[in-house]
Amino acid sequence: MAKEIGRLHSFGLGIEATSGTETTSDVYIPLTAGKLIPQVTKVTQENGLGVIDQVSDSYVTQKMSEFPASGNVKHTSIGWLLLLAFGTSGSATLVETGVYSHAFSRKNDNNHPSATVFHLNATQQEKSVYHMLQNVDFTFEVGEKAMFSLSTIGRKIQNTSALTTAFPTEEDFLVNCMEVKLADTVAGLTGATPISIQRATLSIQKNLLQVFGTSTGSGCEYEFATQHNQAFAVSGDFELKMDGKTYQEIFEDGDYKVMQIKLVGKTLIGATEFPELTFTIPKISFESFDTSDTLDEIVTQTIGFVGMYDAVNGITTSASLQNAKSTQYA
Amino acid sequence: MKPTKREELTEAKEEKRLEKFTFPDFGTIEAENLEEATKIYISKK
Repeated sequence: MAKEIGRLHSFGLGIEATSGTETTSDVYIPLTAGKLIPQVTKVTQENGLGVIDQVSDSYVTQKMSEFPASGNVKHTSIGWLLLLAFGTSGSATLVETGVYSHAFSRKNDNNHPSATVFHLNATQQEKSVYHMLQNVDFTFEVGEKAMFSLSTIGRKIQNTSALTTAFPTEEDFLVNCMEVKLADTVAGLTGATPISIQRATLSIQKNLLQVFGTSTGSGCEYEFATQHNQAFAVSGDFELKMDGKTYQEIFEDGDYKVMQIKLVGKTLIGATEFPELTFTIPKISFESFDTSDTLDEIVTQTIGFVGMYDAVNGITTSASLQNAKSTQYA
Repeated sequence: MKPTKREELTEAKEEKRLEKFTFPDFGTIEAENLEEATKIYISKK
């Protein structure tokens, strides 16, 4: 490949109908950083050979790839990442002319959707199948755009051709337009007063496992046979100025709360509706509480939380995305 | 009979809405999906 800057690199995702079977790209995702990197495991030959030299051979035993990436949360492309995170996306539901809602819910099995990841630059094109989401972390900081960072794991990288980059037309979510609510029940969110925070994070961990096995054909097998998401975990934290003991007492008392994080876009996509991304966590527990102690600055409080499985609503978290996409994420 | 609000919404949902895709160094193309947009792009570039 020619020497070139990172801006010439593009990354696409295509949701696979059958995990591990290549598909075409559904979307190219604008990123602030991203790379498709080989993950090769090797074992070395370190037996004593009558010399003081340590290593005499190296053998490849596993071939995979990793796709770490980060970018701004945008109102159309983020849906593909939410599908990989949650496992299920419902049909697009009409909100008003030209505006649709997409519901993402946690698929209750260990075979969540996978994607073929595509990487192209000015001179070279690559692909890797069977990528599943290891984790996605959202960062919301006032004064900034909402950000995500993620990592996916898939099979080895292969060369490909005939890829064409095209990005959806979409806008960023500003954290200044974000609304955070805490309530005692999901129904109570509607009437709850939003709280003004300065920063929040939300993480979804999927604890991937790759199953490697002995050869089932001719030759050696270096790639995983199957890959599975395991325990689904949600956590995060939020920071705000310290002006009372409300959150400290919730932490001390061990009360559960319902949390909703709602991002709202700035440009109308219908007659009255804006893009929206809403995370609802019906049962959070404050697992940590800390305050800053810098002498010359207003004291802040940081509350760490863990999303719990809520048997009443049957979820740990769900997401709803409102945009102009009229077809299902699939 | 006049359609109910729900029926109107269902009909509206069935309309195929085009999405916009931006091709680097080329411009924006409206199509049903990325695959269709790419076909149009290749025919035009």
